[in-house]
Amino acid sequence: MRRLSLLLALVPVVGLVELALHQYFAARAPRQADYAALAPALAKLKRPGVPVVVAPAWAEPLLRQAAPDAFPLVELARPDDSGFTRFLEVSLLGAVAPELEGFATTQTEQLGAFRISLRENPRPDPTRFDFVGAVERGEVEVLTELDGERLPCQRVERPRAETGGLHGHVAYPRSRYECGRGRFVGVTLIDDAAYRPRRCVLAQPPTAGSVVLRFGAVPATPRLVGFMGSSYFIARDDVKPELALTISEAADPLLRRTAAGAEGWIRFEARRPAEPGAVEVKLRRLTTDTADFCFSLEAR
Amino acid sequence: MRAHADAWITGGLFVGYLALLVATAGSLGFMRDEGFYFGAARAYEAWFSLFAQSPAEALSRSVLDRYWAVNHEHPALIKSLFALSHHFLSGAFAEASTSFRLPGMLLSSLAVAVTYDWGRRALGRAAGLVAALSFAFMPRVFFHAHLACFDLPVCAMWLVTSYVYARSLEAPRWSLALGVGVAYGLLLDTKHNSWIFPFALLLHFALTRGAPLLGDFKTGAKWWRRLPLAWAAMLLVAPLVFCALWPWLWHDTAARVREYVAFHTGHDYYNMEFLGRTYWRPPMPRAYAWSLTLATVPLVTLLLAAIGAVHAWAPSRGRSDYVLWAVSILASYAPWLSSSTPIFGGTKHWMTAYPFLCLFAGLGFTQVLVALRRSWQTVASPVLAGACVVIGPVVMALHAHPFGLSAYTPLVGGAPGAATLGLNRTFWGYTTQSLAPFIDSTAPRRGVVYVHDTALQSFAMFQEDGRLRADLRPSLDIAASDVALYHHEPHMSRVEQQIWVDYGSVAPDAIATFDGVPIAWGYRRKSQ
Repeated sequence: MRRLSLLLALVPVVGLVELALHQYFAARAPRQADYAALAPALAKLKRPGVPVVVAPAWAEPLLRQAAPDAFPLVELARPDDSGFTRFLEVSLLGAVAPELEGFATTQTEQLGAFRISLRENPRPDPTRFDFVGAVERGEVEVLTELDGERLPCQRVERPRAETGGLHGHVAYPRSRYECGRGRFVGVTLIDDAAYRPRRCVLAQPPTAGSVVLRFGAVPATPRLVGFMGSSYFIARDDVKPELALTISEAADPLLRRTAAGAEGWIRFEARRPAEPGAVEVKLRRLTTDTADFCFSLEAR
Repeated sequence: MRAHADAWITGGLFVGYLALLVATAGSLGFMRDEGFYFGAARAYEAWFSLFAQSPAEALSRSVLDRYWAVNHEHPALIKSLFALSHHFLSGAFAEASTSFRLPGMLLSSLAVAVTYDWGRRALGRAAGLVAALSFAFMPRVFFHAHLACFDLPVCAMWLVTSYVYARSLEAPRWSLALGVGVAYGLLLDTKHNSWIFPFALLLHFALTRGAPLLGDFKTGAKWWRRLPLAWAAMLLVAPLVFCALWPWLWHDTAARVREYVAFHTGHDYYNMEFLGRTYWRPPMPRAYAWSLTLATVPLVTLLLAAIGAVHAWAPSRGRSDYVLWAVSILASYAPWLSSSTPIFGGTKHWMTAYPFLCLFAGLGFTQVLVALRRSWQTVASPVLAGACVVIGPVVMALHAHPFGLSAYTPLVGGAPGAATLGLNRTFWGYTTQSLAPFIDSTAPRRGVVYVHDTALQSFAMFQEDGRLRADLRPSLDIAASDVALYHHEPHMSRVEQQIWVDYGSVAPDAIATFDGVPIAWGYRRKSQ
């Protein structure tokens, strides 16, 4: 009874301890000035092809603001992590990036409130050719195919992108291949099942027939690794396959994959022939109200 | 003399809390829902004006329907108060929005005062004060208490109705019973949480008077005499009050009540992040309500409430008030025992439980005082002990302002800890206010601002109050904008991604942070 009395008598102390902890947690995280102070050092450490990963992830916008050059879109919205050999992890509050679990730390530097570590991918699968980049550079032929007949889509530069906002379509880029009837092919971003950005080629096939992307100068590699999906927020309730993607090389079929919005950002892989040839990616609707699908593809 | 002092304390709590809310309202941006209610209140205000000039015209069905169809998915009482307050008091404040918000602030202050009064009657003055201040300065309560919304009003009306009901049980008089009927009618006309209230009373009755009633029933005695008089008033008077104060129901009453019920029983599932996962369809996590309570209510308040509840549990202490407090808490949380109940509004859904939780905290505080006197008689001071248990909540609530929805307690590591755990950082788009200096200094003359989650009516109120430049044009089209705002929730990331593509930059130009955690940010278009 006396012990219980003592415990109860300590409750006011709990109130004071909670207040002290509140003050501690409120002041614990770095402020915007700390990120700004980190930026020059980060710029020196950052190398092309070594994505910056922030832990915890919620701090990333603050670092993007302070050091925008450390976040090229091609790295920030990468299709996955496996294609990169190293990552530069910026950690605060003792956090570690869960996606880099198992990646060895080869260098570490403490800079104020931040710890910057170079993390090595134990099983890197480097990209030799990025098909999304090729579309962006115009190194692709885009065609519509209807009843065996192919018609070219025209590359155009519009004054501005088109955006759908929260409940509308993803951003339709300024630079795009227009294929008639308002349909186009262009590079944009979609959100995956974790709502992370993924850079990809948005291809809108015609109602009947297909849209075809033909890449003529793909270096020889053993495999093609790709991803496809729709904006998860928009299409996450769609469980029926809506789109079929087929890949062929030198006229030999390599892969056929269907996708439904609810599947998120789907990974696929295909072995390539020994002799490289033109790679064709063909997309066809399986439903009349197919959402906007997007794919990324890399030769690895 | 003592009663005089208590009246002063009750009044002081009411006036003091109201003054604090009014004084701090100017720094709190406008919620998405507030925008819709401003619009509804303006429509109702116009109807009231028409009614004053031409009653016959105002009462015609077509006119009634035209004005009262606006936002008819929610009852009209609180929005009518917003309308009347704006009509009569808009010139009394520096900002028009304060007049819309005043009824909510008054009802929130009333809840604080009633919590004190009930706590004082049941437990004593010190416990009443601890209960009232613990409630007033729960960070989320302090946040919602500012708003032209229904969440604190329904909390206040539930508390007031319960209080009058408890008094009617102590002194079964028709006047008090009638008071319960009227109060419940007002509660029904405030928000649909009111539908659960009768179940709380039934449970209370079963636990406190069920056994004797059963005995009467078995022996053939007049068992119905044990039924509270207030129930009759709730059945007969409350529906009349409900309909009388909601002109939308004056025609097609049954169909429109059915539509109202159907709207809320079949409500859409909006998105809500919980422990790193976004929930947008059932099953919703059953642990959500309890976990969020733990993460947002100061631990010292919860601890005191737990002590109070344990103390009240003792069979010899089965006081009717304690049981009523307990069933009000259980009833308020009960919908979230089902995994199909939406969770999109976070803690606001079950705030009706919080005054009762704090009354138990007051009861717990009485036990702490007893223990203090036993252990350290010489230093045991109710004032000092009371200060120790309310200072934390007061500091936390004031510190959280105006980022109340981002506020988390030390139990989860504050705002940074909650962000790391994947708890919702913000919703309702109100943090636009924190980006106002960026918007005003950056947007070109007559520039277009993509408002993201801020309702267009809320943006208009920012402008009407002079919190944002009047020449700016709000838009829901990123591509048409010169400045784009982004209020972070994971499922809304696609909005920021569209800004990246359209603006050609991933670097925000301004970020509003709370305790170092980014809450909302803005981009400026640098090229055409």
